[in-house]
Amino acid sequence: MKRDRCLDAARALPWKQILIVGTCFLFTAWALVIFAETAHGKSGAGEISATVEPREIRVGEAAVLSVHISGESAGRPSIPEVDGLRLVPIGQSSQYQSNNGRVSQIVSYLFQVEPQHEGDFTLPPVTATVNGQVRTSEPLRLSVSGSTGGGAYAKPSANLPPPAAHAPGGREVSRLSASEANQRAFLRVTPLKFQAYVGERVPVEIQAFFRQGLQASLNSFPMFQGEAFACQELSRKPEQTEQILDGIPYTVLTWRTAMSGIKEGNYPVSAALNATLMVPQTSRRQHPFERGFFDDDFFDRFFSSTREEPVRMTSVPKEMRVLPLPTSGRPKDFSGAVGQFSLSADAIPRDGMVGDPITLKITIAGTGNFDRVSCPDLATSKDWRTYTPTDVFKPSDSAGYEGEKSFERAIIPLSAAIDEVPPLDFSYFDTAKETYITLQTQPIRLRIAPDARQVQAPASGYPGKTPALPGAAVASESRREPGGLAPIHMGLGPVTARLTPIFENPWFMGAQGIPLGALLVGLFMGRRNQQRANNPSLLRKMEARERISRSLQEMDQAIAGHNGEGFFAACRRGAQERLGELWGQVPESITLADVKEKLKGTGEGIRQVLENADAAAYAGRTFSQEELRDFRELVARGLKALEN
Amino acid sequence: MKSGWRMRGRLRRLWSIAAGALLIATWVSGATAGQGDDLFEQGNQAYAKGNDDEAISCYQKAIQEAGYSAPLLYNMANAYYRKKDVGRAILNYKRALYLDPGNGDIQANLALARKDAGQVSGPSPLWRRPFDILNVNGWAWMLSGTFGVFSLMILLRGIRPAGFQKRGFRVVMTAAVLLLLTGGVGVTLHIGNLGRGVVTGDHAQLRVSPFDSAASSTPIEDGRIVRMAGTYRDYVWVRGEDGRSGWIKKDAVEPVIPAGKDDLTSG
Repeated sequence: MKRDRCLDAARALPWKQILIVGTCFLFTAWALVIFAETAHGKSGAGEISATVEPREIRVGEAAVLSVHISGESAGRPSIPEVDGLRLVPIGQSSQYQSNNGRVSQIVSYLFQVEPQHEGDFTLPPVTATVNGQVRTSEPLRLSVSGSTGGGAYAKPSANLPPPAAHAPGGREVSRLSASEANQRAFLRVTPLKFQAYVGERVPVEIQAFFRQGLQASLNSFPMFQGEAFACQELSRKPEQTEQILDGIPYTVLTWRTAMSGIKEGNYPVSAALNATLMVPQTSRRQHPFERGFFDDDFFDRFFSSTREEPVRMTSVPKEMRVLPLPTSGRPKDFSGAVGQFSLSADAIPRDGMVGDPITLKITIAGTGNFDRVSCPDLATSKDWRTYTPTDVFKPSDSAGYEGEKSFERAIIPLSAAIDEVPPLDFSYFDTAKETYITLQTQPIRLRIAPDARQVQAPASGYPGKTPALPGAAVASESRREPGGLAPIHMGLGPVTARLTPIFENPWFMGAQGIPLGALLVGLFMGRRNQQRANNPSLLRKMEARERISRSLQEMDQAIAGHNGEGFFAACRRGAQERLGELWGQVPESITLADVKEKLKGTGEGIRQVLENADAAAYAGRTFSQEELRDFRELVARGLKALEN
Repeated sequence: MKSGWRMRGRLRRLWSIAAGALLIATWVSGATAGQGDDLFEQGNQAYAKGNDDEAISCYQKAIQEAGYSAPLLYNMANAYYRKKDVGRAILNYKRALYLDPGNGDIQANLALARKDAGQVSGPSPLWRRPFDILNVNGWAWMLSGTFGVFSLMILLRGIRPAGFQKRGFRVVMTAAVLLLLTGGVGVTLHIGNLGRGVVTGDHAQLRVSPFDSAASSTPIEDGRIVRMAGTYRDYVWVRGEDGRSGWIKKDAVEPVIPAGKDDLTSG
């Protein structure tokens, strides 16, 4: 029997749905496992490589160390120090690669290697943490021969190739070149100019052209080819426009960035971009006539399918000449800033005491390589305690070529004799004037008073509540440690297990429900009381109900005490209360005659009891307890009926 | 009669168990507090001898054993300050001030440490000082108690309206409303510490995105007080008092209010 019931229940189950859901679940789980394994496999990858070019230089020249790190989560490389070589960071660029739809980043860190003497050097392996694992590059060799006779920076080579010939202004004419004309998609790289100094930032436009109507998906961001230039990170969302070149409409994606040459010489500028084109495939139909009924563009599109065609779009290389920075006239504080800049400074506050921090705000605005713009130092820093400055760069353009770099440096005057912030110097190489320029701010007048806190109690501005030591009310100068520190406290004081505030404790918050509930109940009751107070008829009705209830209790007591007189008196009062409320009359004025006249049907029981009450009062008739109980029931039923 | 005796016996047993539990709890907490006191005293002695590292170690153990107290955190901050670890000094002064907001010594030393770190800070404004009488928990308890009294009065008035129509009721209710408002302001002023942190890592960098390979936007100095809003893997998004914001390594910033004793890493 039980077995049959189980079989019936099993048959009743929706096995088909269970099968479908189960299969879907298993398939999803399998897909997730495969995906996780693939992701793990990918994330495990990650490489570091380093190159130095050229491998042979002379004292006074510089080589470039390039460190390339690929991986999803890569840290900065740790560059070892080499005795006799100075490594100056000159830029960072990022490239993106796409592999099976998974985009990974390659970050390149570039360093200028300046030898201080001749000899054969070995650059130790560069290490970096890639995807949580420490990766190490191969060691590199650099051979430095005798001096060229120049300073730390290389002089322009005598055999430097002439500047590349380009259209005036550097911009390309918006026409198709011969190599572009027969392509569905092509890439253009257009620097603002084709001659620049080492480190000079040159705005550059990268444009990807796709013939309209052609569907394409990008598999990577544009990548600069070669290692002669450092480039700013490209924006992830390129600008999308439409252009007509030689009568052909194109959809154009434009990235604007800035590049800078990292070593002197003539170098090609080009970029590459990986994309997948959706190429329409027209059906090859044979028509007996030259042009059939279906030989129409509409039907071509309707009947055609598309095939995916991966392409690597490469721009036509354009030669760019990178000039070295002159060594003559190079200021000592030159940090590598190249461009055109302006300098301003302010100090806040300008009035204060010895030891009070002052915020020195320095702004350098203009165009150029802001990553090499550093904060000017105070010339007479022995009178000041200075702190590491903070800097914020606000670019005015998407390439980060034009903008404003603000520095904030906290400085503390150490002497009351100080009356100004000395002039601040900032040196850069002006690309328009082709010479080094040193900008200087005006001195900023200050009023520094001696430290009044040396005389007053230091903590006078901070009225104490808890004495530090027994008997001491306020921290005073006599209790101070050297350096102005208030002394330690001797008592442990009240201890708390956690610093988290009490209202983060669920018990505390839950307990607030009790007063909240009381408040809601109180408000509800208060509102009900108010409603009753504003409604006299309701109030009368409730009072009458209360008196009737009391009369019924008196009747019960009278029955229990064999008190017929008391019973009928209570009956009369109860009936008068109900009828008085019903007829709007004073209850005491209602007589048996009124009841007989006005009360028909529903009040029959009440009338009968009141007649018996009169009989008991005037004829001296007595009733048993049973009869009184019956009368009570009659009255209670009658009062209930009248209430409704 | 028998059931009455049985009931009394049960009650007596319950009372004995409760009293025993209370005694054990008192003994355990007393013993813990005693250990904390000893460690605190040892820390003070080490501090007096100029041995700041030992003092810090004792204070940290005292926190692990007994818990936090304003003098404990303050003394530890003094030791850090003498060690020239301004970041952790500021962090512990902030924590001490959170527990005892009106303490003049803590305020003065915090201002001193901040000044040494090149940060401008003045005494709290006059209007704020009354709210420094209590810490955030004190204000929360006051708010809760006042709310309880207020609710009880409303409830009693709802039950017996006739008894609560007098002037006294109005006076009590007005006082309760004023206390509620004061408590609310007190809690609001002190609750600001909840999302705050202090930079304790040397040469910390604010990054534009929460990845090791992300470009560094600006350095942020040790001891800077920041607002912490959101985390991603090993990074916390912070905004400084000067408006600078960015992602910083989790181990370079510590919250003023740690979640518990276990979170006490260095502070």
